Amino acid sequence: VTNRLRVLRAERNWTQAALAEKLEVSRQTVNAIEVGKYDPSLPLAFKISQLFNQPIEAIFSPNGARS
Amino acid sequence: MNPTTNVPDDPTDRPFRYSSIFWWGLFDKNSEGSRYMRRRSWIGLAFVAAGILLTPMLRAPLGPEIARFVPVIFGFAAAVWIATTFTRYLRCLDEMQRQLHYEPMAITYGVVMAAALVLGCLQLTIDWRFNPLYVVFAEPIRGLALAVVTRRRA
Repeated sequence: VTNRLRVLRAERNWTQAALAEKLEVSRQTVNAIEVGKYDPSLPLAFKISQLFNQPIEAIFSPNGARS
Repeated sequence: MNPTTNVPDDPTDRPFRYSSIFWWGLFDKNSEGSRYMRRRSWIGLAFVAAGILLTPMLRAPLGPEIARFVPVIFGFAAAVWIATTFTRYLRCLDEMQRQLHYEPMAITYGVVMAAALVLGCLQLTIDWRFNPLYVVFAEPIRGLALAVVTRRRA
């Protein structure tokens, strides 16, 4: 799964630590999601979607697909 | 600039390292799990030290028959302590840390348990009657065997 988390975060000028605090996860988790080493659970994906006010499919897409 | 996303790199965004996940609870000074594990580890060590110190000291006042249960009590307390520490520690982790951390932590605990077993066997060479392994496993088997033998003789 690829994602636009890094772009969305940079648009808001948030650090990984700041985003992690908002999502109530560790900074490592945010980093791992951004670099594609970890796929978030559905509840966390929904949390990310609500935080950025965008549908999940606008943030996450299956490998190979471009959003 | 990050070539894949055209997003400027933030110097505060340190890269992902698996090792940092592995040692998260023990060496990351700022994490809640770290503080929790260090605090609990000291208390766990106090349990072990108390067991080592009190067992020989209590032999004389309690008598050998009762004193042999002292290491069992301390062993049981330590086992409960380890179990609660581990489960509470897992609650401190977020979903990714729990997923990636559980397996290495289980291996670490396995190694610790194996070391405890080796220490128990070493203790056997010093005084087998007060060995927790003997008291927990060998003594009931011996008692059962004796009971069977005496019943047959009767």
